[in-house]
Amino acid sequence: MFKLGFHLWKSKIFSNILLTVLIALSLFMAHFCVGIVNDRLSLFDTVRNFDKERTFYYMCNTLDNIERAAFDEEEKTGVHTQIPTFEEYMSQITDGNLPDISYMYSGTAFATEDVSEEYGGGVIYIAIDNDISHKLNIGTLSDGQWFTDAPHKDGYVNAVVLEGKYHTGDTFTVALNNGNSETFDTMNILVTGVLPDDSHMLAPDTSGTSLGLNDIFPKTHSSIENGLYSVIYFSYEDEAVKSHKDNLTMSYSCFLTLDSYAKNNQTVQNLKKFGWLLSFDEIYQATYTYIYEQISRIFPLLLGVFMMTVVCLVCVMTLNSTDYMKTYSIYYLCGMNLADMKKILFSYSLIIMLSSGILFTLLFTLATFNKNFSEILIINLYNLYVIFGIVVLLIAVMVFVPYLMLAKYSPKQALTEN
Amino acid sequence: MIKLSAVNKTYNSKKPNAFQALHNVSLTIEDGELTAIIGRSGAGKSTLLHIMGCIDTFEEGTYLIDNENVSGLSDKKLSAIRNKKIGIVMQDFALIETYSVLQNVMTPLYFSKIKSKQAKEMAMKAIRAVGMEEYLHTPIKNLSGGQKQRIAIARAIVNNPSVILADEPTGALDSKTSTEIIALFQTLNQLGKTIVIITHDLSVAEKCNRQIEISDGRIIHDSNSPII
Repeated sequence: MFKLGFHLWKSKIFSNILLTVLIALSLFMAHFCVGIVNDRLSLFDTVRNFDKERTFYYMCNTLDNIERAAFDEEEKTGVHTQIPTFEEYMSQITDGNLPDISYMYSGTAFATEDVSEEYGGGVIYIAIDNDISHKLNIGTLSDGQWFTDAPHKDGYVNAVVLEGKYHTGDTFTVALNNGNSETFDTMNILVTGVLPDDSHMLAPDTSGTSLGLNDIFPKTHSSIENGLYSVIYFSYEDEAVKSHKDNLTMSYSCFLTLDSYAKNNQTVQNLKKFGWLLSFDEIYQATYTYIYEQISRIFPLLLGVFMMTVVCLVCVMTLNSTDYMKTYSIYYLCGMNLADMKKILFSYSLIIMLSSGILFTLLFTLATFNKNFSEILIINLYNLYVIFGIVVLLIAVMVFVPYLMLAKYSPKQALTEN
Repeated sequence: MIKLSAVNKTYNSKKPNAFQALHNVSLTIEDGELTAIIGRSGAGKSTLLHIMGCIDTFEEGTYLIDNENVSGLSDKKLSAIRNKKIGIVMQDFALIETYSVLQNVMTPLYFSKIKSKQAKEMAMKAIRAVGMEEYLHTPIKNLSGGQKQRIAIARAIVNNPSVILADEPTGALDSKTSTEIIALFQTLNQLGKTIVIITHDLSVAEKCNRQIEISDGRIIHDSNSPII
């Protein structure tokens, strides 16, 4: 029967090739979307095993909290090696009572050129964030419930601004350096909230700009080369801050485990004074909200593509069945029964799915060379389940649509009406 | 042997436009006969052939082919009878235009579950029997009407059926080609095949050993039984 299925495929080769391309694209889209969903669901893996009562997430900056030695120009080249470790810094903040920071994710920062004249006032040094705080999307506010006076805006919250210069809703421009001190990009930043200690919460201001694929499906595995997360701002107009402009800036974040959490505990008070201390529930809620919002954006697209594929498939199979009617009537003459017809249709659909699979594999391989896709396009059980489910469903459509059309004809009707 | 007993066939039964195509038709065709069934258009010839070919069903009566009662058989069993016991030749040839000669003749063998090598040999033998061995890989669309009908006959005999049914096999052919085709049927009959030809052409009917005339769904004349 495979030969007859192959003959059927060959007789309508152009429409079958178009069908192959459509199915391959759908499989690719489904794999991509499942990869993104899975990527976001993996956020929970980080927090799931933590001790909920004693684990907190902590994020802080070091700008005005540590006395630093001044660096002159010659010493700037070796500046990274002179940055105190996070343990040293935390030890200072907590007066020696260093909590368990075994889940530490340190930030990275470096001094860059002073480009304030080139980009205007308010230009800042940018610190590169680490993976985990981006992954957890700690600052996302679904409805502002964390901070009572910080209205919610879409996007994620970046690190702390020192001076209370701006108000909620204000925007300003920053220069971004992604690790290459010779290259700067500009970005509009929106103030999404002001905290009681006059620190600001920031988000990328995408209003009026067209969103690219990365905006709709932001990467969660941000690397130093690609990530921008922490923004530390200080105004050159403020004399108190201006003196620090040549210093290093740094943001740190980590998970820490406290033996006890008491509001009057000095360690806790110090931590809160110099940064953000967030409970496990707050982490979990923020992560869940972020995942839900991202998946809500992805799911309609996936559903739309899939429905389009099924509709096209049904249309093509219906039209092809009408054209194949004469062939089937001749097969009837020659002794084909309904079971044979199902086998022929199955062989035909198998050929289409195999060729779609080959094309999908080519697309997949080519896409993995692209940094934007390589971390999303992974193969795991979820992807395999979804792909398998789609393949089974499409084969069922390709077999049963023509079968139902043809089976209603008796052999005589098939012969005499065609 | 083909034996029909009191077969009735009605189209659209239980509907206002019900039409009885066959009335109490009984006939027996012995092995090795070359029989022509003649009649005007609408007489019921094709209906009778479709019933004999297990392409259509009937409401009353019995139909035995090689002593096997085909009434009430499943789709699978009827298909097996069409595949192995009956070869059918149609007026419009009923060939697949995109296939070659060999592929068309091999088509019944795909449903016989015969191995590829043996199937090819059987097909080549049938093609040689109709004198078309030079056109083995020629696409059907490149053949003339007479050549196509030869291929249709080759396909009909490839599985060595006991009965060959032909529905107006010369209807689309010129007189010279028609003569060649009828001569081919005669040759196959001499080799022992039971052949039933539906035709409205008396010149074709005269070349057969037996003529059965049908009118308004009833057999009105049988050359083997002058009194009906």
